[in-house]
Amino acid sequence: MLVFTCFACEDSLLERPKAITVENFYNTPSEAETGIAAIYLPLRSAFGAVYLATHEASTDYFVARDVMLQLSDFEGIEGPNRVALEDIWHSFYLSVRNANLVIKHVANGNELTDVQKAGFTAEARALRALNYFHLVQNWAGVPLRTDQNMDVIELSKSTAGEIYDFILADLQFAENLLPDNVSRAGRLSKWGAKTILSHVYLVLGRYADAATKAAEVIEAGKYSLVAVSAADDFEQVFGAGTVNSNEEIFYLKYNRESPWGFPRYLTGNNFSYLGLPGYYMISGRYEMKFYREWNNADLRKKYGVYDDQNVDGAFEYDDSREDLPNQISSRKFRDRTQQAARNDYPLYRYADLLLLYAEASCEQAGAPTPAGVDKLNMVRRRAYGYSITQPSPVDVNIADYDKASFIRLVFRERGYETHSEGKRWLDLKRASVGKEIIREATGKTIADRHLLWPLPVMELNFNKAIHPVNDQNPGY
Amino acid sequence: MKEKLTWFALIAMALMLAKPSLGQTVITGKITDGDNGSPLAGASVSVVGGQSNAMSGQDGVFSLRVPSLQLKIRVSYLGYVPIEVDVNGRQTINVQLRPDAASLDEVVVVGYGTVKKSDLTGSVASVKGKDINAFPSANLMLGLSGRAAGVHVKQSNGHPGENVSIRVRGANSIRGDNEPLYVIDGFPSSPYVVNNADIESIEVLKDASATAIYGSRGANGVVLITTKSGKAGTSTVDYESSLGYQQLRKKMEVMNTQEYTSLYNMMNVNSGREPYFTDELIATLADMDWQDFIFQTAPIQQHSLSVAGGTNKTQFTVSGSYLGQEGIITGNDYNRYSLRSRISHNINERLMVDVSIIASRINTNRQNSAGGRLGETLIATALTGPPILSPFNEDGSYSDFGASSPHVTSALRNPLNFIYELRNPVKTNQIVSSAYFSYKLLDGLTLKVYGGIDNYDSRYDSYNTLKFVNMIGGSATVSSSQFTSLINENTINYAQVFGGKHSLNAFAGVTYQDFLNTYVEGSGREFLSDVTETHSLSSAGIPGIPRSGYTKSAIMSYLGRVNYSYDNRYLLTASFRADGASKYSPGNKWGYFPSAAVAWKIKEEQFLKDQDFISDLKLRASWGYTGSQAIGAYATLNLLQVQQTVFNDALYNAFAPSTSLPYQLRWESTRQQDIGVDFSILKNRISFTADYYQKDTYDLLNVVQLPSSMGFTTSLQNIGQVRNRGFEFAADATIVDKAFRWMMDGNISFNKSSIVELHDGEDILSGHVNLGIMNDNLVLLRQGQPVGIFYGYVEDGYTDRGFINYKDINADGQINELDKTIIGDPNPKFIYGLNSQMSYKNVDLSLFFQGSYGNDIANISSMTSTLDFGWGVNTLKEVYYNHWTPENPNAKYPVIQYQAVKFSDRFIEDGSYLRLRNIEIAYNFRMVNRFFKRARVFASGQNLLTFTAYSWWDPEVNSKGGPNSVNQGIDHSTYPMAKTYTMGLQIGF
Repeated sequence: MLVFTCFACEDSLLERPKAITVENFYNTPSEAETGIAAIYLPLRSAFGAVYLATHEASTDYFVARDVMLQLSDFEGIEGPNRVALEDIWHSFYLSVRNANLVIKHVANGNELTDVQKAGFTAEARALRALNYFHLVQNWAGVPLRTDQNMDVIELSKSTAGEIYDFILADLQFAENLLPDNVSRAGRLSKWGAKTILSHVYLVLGRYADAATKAAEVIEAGKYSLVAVSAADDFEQVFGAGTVNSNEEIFYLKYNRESPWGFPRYLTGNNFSYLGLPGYYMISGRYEMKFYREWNNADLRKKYGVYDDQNVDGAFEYDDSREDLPNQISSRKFRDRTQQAARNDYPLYRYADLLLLYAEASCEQAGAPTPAGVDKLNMVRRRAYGYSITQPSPVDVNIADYDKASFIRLVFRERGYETHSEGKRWLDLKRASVGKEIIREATGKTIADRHLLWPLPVMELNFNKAIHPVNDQNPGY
Repeated sequence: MKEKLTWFALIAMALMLAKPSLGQTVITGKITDGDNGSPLAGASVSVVGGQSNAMSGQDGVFSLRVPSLQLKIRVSYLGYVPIEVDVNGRQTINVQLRPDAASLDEVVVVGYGTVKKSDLTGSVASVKGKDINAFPSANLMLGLSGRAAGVHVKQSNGHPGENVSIRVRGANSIRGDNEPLYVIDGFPSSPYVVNNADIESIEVLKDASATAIYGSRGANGVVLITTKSGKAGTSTVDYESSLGYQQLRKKMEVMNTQEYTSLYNMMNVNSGREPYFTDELIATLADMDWQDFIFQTAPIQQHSLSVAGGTNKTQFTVSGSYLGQEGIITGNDYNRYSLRSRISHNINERLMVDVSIIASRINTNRQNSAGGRLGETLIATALTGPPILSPFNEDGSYSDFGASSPHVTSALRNPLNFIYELRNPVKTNQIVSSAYFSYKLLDGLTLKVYGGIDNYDSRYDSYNTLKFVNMIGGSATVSSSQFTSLINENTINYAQVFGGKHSLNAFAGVTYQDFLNTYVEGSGREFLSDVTETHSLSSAGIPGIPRSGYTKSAIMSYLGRVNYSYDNRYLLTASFRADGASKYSPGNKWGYFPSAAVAWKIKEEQFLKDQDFISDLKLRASWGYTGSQAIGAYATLNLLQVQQTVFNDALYNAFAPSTSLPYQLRWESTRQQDIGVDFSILKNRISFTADYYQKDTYDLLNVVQLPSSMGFTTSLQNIGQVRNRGFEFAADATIVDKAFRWMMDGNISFNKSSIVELHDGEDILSGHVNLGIMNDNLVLLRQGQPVGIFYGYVEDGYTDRGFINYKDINADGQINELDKTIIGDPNPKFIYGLNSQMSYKNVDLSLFFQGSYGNDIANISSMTSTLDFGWGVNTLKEVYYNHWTPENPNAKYPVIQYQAVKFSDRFIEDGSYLRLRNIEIAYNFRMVNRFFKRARVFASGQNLLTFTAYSWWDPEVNSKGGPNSVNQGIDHSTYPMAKTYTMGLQIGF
């Protein structure tokens, strides 16, 4: 009897979970696709709210309130704001880990063709590069987690240069292996990867490479600006109901079941652009130069901003008004009936790419180029409701600008175009004109310590290969 | 009732058959309890030095045949002091027996058996059902607090029915469950199913010799719960009822509107802004103390009825009970209905069968909203709710805190939302049923086959109504979980005495138990109406993703034990258990747990045998290994989890591992040594037990934090060794034993834990808290230190501007993580309990004190309520009156201005307390008539007096406590404990 029981028992001691283990996964195309989807998930969390709000708080057009107020002083990040960034760091790295898992396991996928393996690997590597691109811009040198060192607990910081080399290698690998057209909107195409690559070159100051890569995407003719004749037509670009547009190069997708948190940081309290009162964490001020210079005829202004004294109308300057507004808020990402917004996050729009080309080509040539000016004009024409391809009254004339003034012009245009998109701070930081723009707009000087974020405590506490003092970013 | 009549008939027949034959003399009489006059059924009466004996019947009446009327009779009854009476020619003799406080003939329940208390070789604390049931509580284990040396009972919070955590001789495990194993009448199960009034006794097995027979589940001690069973020859009906009122022990002093508005104006000025509150505005504001609004006086009631009895062949017990408790926070309660029955029947002289069923239904409305940042939870809002707001707007709607003033964050919510617009009912059915056959193969050799089913079904409905602030359309979640445990134990027992001096008791067995958990959950949000609540998920505007899950684990064991005694002087116990557990990876599945113990009954030696002063003296020593099943099923497997991301406008599945990195794991094992002495004098009037133990736990399983750049944030690993050492003393004494009786018992335990070894000697940080104003780990595990010490910064006065200064411990000119140091220890130096029982004639007075000394509390609740000025939260009054200003640079609190703070010694408080846990005065009616055998009424109070220096609601707080938590002694906006006034009665028929 004992012997029988023992056979039975040894068998009953084997674990048979009704779940999938990592080791048995990534074998079929559908398995690999769900693994790929898991790279996007934490990326969406990273861009969910705080990251974008933190960036927008340090700009020439917004100031933050309450605990975030400090971010608008350009003197570094402490307290709750510093704490909040720890989750952002983790989200980027969680996305990196999920990418590394795909890269590592897809290679052995027993039901995948070589072409499929290459495609999945390319997508994972490009997304990994995108994560590192954001890590390196905010923190400079960071630990470089790859599919080769996933199990290493203590890993020292790589230099910013090493991280950029790695980003370039990933993107250059991926740019031609990714599909021309994506199977589902929200996934990265080869054009998306090339756009990221172009952006990386721009940040690195490799303007020729940036312009060439941007031109490659533009000339492919895959994208166009959505034509606009009235302010509300921008719904087709930013609206909650817009699933896809010609302008979309790479967006992060949100919907009703899995909404986007950031718009609530923008909209005002008890006002009607979301189903719930907004936090108005970041908002503009009446006296700001940015809004004063912004032409009232610019449909982007009409569509995107409003003031608290005239919630439903357009915000226009009129110093004779008796009810001068306290705040200018953004309604760019509106979703009136929902408690959380369904809008997508436009990480790369065609307009971004056009302005990127305008800047890079000017930097490369040492002066504005006709092609570059044309790209800028395309963006301006659309903004004022003119035909995008025909000359218009709002066109700028190449003869009126030298390099410096054209770069300033591009930055001003970028400000109008990407207002509320969380891109401004990184643009201002990378460019030589950034400090000047901030000083002119706010009278404030950007402290050196504000340029890089502190490495998270949750990293320093548990990664002994990074010294909490010597390896910490300056000023922290 | 019909059954009961049958019993009466059987007893009557037995009495008739016992009628004396002609020609002999008969003595009759009645045996009663000397304390309350109730008849004692089943007491034994015998002729001293003669053959004749008899047993008292149902009404306590006996009838004994005797050869003459000039002799002595002896009357004895288990648990009472036996007496001898001179008959002296009388034919009617009524006898009163006195309860024996410390009877050494008492039988103590141990693992897989019972043993005479005097023959114990291990360390076992035994608590009687009467003490457990001294006051009503939704949780049986609360009754154990302070009653047994070495047993530390901690309630995480005051929510009715909240689980209680128990640490026997300190905590062994860092990651793992530190709760003892609960065994109900032989079935390892959860204790919450049992009604307090059904308890016969609770035994806590403490040393390895007692616990090793439970092998891989014994390391944290074993709590054996024995329920009452019917006794042959009796039939009793008992009814108990009590009603109590619970209240918040004390209120915190928070600011009123005048102080609040003044403080926030001050904050604005200090931050370079204009004051916001003008006198005109202040005049329009309300003045609320939200504590008055949230806390209530709440009833607790308990009723139970039990019937027990039996014949020599069949014994039974049936009982039913109800416990209803409302919480001192409005809107939550706990209701338990339970039924229990047990029947044992001797089929013939060799074969017996025993069947037991305990069924319970628990309906509880949970109020889970605790902790959190600022006032985003109900319990935090009690203090942080701004006094300037009324609960309702003029139109009857709830006021919206976030919209009320620019200071107030929308994270602060009107508590009405939680109380009325959030529903969390949980309904649970649990049935623990078991049966066994035992068969006497030979004289002394018994085979027992035991089987049981523990089934636990629970349904949780969570509903946020449409009215809940900042939420459109409400949300609903329904979750149903099923747990089933099957057990089979086959044991064989051999007991024999050889040659009069060698006594042997051996036992061996093969056992199996498995544990199956499944659940299914559905959810949805955006409903059209609250009418459907959680009962129409399909009408949700946005259906949630359905979920389900499955885990199964099993344990298979071989076990055996030998008890040997020589001449009743030298005792030896040895046991062994081999456990195989499915949770561990192949190659690591089996664990082996031996133990041995010796005892020397010195009192039985010739030189003490006739000594009158010392009535008992025994030395004990034991050694053994036990284990801990510290991990969950599948913990060693790298499982993928599914989540959803969005492409196009739809959800797509995303598979990835969790953030916990799996690892190859070994067993956690604990070696324990114990030496003890049992000593009593003056015919056991004063007795004393002392133990010294050392427990070393090896291969500790622990959650190791990983750098967040790994993507994984935690990993479970075997990382080291913890040692617990301590002394335990327990004593009881009958101080006065006249018409006035006074008995006292007490216990005190000193435990010192120390981390002997960690992986690579590296610190482990734990207790992560993010309050916005502070985000850090509060708790440290470090070699050479006790488990779970508080790790933070040391304050050093204020800066010129009134902000908190921190000490630069490593003197590098910067304040950062390297300046953290040990700032507190949540482990008490000692815990103690003291019980005093006095009785005079019909009146009993009992006092029960319980306390803890030398433990620190990390009061995180105070962080928000004294320093977080960024969000319009209310703070303590003393902040307003005692904060930094240039004129008051040494104030208790810093300048009124927002600043992030660090976890510092400011938040560490002495958590020592002494508490009058129970005081009871009772009146016993001497009214033995045809209706009542006994009746007793009482009035009592729980937690009426508490002596403590702790500043917050209650020193018994353990917000992050739980079975597998090293984060002890943290107070984070937690449901406070109540004080209670109770009245009740007990009637026996």
